[in-house]
Parts: sequence; structure tokens; C-alpha cells
Amino acid sequence: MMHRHFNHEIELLKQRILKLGTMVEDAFMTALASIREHRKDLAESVIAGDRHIDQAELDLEEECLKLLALYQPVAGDLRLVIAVLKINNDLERIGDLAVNIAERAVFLASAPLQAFPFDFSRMSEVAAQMLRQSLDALASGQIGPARQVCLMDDEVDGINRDMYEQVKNAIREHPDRVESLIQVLGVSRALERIADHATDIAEDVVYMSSGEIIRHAYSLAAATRAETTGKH
Amino acid sequence: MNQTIESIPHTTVSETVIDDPILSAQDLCFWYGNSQALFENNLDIAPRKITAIIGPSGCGKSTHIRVYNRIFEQYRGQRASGRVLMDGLDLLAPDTDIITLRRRIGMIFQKPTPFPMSIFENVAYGVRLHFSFTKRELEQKVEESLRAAALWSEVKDLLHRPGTALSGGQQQRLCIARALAMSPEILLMDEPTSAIDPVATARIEELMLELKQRLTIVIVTHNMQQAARISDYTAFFYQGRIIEFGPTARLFTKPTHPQTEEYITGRFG
Repeated sequence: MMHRHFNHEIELLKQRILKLGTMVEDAFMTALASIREHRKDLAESVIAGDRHIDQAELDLEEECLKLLALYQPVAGDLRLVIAVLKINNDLERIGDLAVNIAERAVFLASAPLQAFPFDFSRMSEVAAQMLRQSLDALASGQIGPARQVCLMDDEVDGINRDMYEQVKNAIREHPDRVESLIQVLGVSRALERIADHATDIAEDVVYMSSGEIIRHAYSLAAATRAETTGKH
Repeated sequence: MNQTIESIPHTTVSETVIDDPILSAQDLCFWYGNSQALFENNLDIAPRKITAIIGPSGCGKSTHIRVYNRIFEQYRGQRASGRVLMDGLDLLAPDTDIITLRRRIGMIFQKPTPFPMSIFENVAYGVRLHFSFTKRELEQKVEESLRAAALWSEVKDLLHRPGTALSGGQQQRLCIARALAMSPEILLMDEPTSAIDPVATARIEELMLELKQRLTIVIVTHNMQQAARISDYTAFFYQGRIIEFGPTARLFTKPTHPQTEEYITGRFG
């Protein structure tokens, strides 16, 4: 009977983290729309909605602690609870970054409409796809799509670096627009960090499903290569 | 949950290698009359570590450790085949000295089994049979064993009271003291805490962690949390076969065999 109850609790936990994922994804997509469409009302709805995400994060954390204390799960169950605990944190941070984007959208919506020398479409498209795919992987537990998310992060990092250069040049050309341009750079930075959190989620899905910790694998391998090269 | 595992368990495939095992069971089979209980099992026991054996009732875990000190030979119709090596010698060989074997490999049972005699005599009894100690040496040995079993401070003024007057947890520690007095190299424990309360259980677990500094422990337990807390290695038995063996931390976070996962997460058994 106890196990049936525990399995039920685990199912509820899965549903709740996926529900939080949906809330956060909605907030992010709305924040992007508020930038794209210069819609202050959309941006404000994202800012106002963040407290629901914060509350859901607290509730989920409490639920995870309860399951750990009461049932002392092991193996796949333990990995699931630990992954949910970590993903919960990443989702809440993405919620905060959506608010960050929305706050910049409020500023940009009230500034005169200007044509910027760059656009966010590719960057926001990839970041949104990464979040979507990491949440899908969380729902299905599939490792393949989760690993793909990790590979997509490089593109977002690259666009963010280019954006920095472009904004610098734009400020030189249009010093009168410096405030708006800094807001734009802030949006780019938020998108880059959202992609990082989506990568974290995907890495935790790999851990949850396989027990393999892939975090830092790339940087550790690069460090080992550098050390080996240094020795010769 | 009435889930059962339909498939026949795999025979042992262990990727974990134990260097210089103190005990090494090889192709171990066991029969109760015509009924086979163990099937060509291989298991190495690491010295000065705690190895836990887990698995559902009737999986052969107690049967397995009962082979180590050949206690099964007390019962008619029970027989083992294969080899159990200790110091390069096969413990199952007919010329093995059983008395020495049982001194080197002590055993603690589920229910405390104090002799119907005083606390002192419970510990001194076996010592007198095996060693020719002076009275003073014997007293020292009894004190040393009771201290090692974390019982001395509780019984030092009651040494001539009957062992059976102690609480369940104390009786179990008295049995551990009795076993330790023989200076065993290996202690087999067959569900040693299943009949005692959580506080007494915690004391025995702490004691086991202290004892592994100087001897090897093999524990059969139904309590998965206990195996996870105290053991260094865990073997999962199912239907007389060792399904998985490995470091406890790995087995409880990332079991490689689906049957292990299902058992330790409580989905069957």
C-alpha cells in the first residue's frame, strides 16, 4: 500500500513540475511577444504573473523535501526527485529572466519606435526551442532530445557575443539611443541565460533517465586535453 | 502491489572487482533435499568492509551466508556444491576443521540467542573451550569483548546477572560480544536488527561501522535503508541467483539491472 501511495505521489510530482514548466514557458513566450510587438500590456502581465511561478516553485520544493524525508527514495525514484528539485530552481530562474525581458519591453515600448540594426528572431527562436525541447524531454524522459538541447546552446552563446559587438557599434553610430541599446543588450543577455538554464534542465533529464552526470563534461574534457597538450 | 517479475533472473554478471577478497564463493549451488536454492553463484567479499545481501524472502540470501561457516551441515538433507575460498583453501573441502572455521567466521542471528547463564559466562564460555587463558586473562577478554560490542558500560556491574534478563538490543550486543571473544576475522549477521527497536538498531549499526575497522562483516537484511546506510558493497539476490553486485552507493542510485531497480524501489518483493 505504501508503495502505491508513493508511486501516486511521484506521478503528482511529475505533473506539477510539468505544469510549472508550462507556466514558465508561457511567461517567456509572452515576454518575447511584448518585445516583438512593443506591447506594454503583455510585458506587465508577465511581471504580475511571476508571483504564481515563485509560489509554485516553493510548493514543489516542499513536496520534494517531503518525499525525501518520508519515503527515502532510491535509484530511479531518487534521481527523479533530485532532478525535479534542480529543474524547479532552473524554471524559477527562467521565470525571473522572463520578467527581466518584460521590464525592458516596458521601457522599449515607451521609447520612440526605432529600427535596430539587428533582430532577436533567431536568438529567441533557438532559446524558445531549447526550453520547449528540454521540457518535452522531461515529460518523456528521453535522453536523445535532451542531449540535443545541450548542443544548441553554443549557437545562442555565439549570437549573444555578436550582439555585444553590434550594440557597441550601434552606440557609436547612434549615441542618442544609448539607453534603448543597453536595454536591447540586456534582453540578449537574458536570452543567453535562459538558454543556459534550458541546458541545465536537459542535463538533469539525462541524469534522471540514465544516472549519467554530463554537466561540465565538455569543459572537463577540454581541460584534460589542454593538460595533456601542455605536458608534451 | 502484487507485481511480480515474470522473467527468469539472469545469472551473475558482475563488473565490480574485489581485490584480495577474504572470501570468494565460486559456482556455489545449494539444495534443500531435492529443491535447489542457489544456482552457481559467484561472490567476492572485500576484507574489512561491510557487504550487505538483500533480496525478497526466499531468494537465498540467508542460505548463502549459512554456507560460509557450514552451519547448514547441522541439518539433514542440506548440501552445497562449488567452492568457497578463504586464504586459498576451500572451506567446503571435507578436511576443513569446522571448529576453527566457526571460530574464524562468527555468526549473529535474527533473534538474540543468549545462553541461559550469566552475562559473564555467555562471553567466557566459548573462550574457555578454545583458549587456555588464566582467570585474569579470561576476565580481560570478557571485558574487552563487551567493550568492543559497546555493552560494557551498561553491564559492568551486572556481570553475574542472567544474559536473558537484558533488553532485546542488549541481548543482541551480548551475542556480538560472545562472537567477538573468539577473535573472528569475519562476522556473519543474519537480519541482526529485525527483532529490535530503532534506537537499539542504531547502536548496532554504529557498532558495525566500528567493527569493520578490524574485521569483515557480511549482513543479510530486509531493511533496504539499513543496507544503504552501513554497507560498502551490496549484492542483490533473486530466486537463488545474484542479480547484481556492486558498491552500495552505486547500486542504490544507479542500479544497472532492472530487477534490482524494481526491488529497491519497492515495485516488487
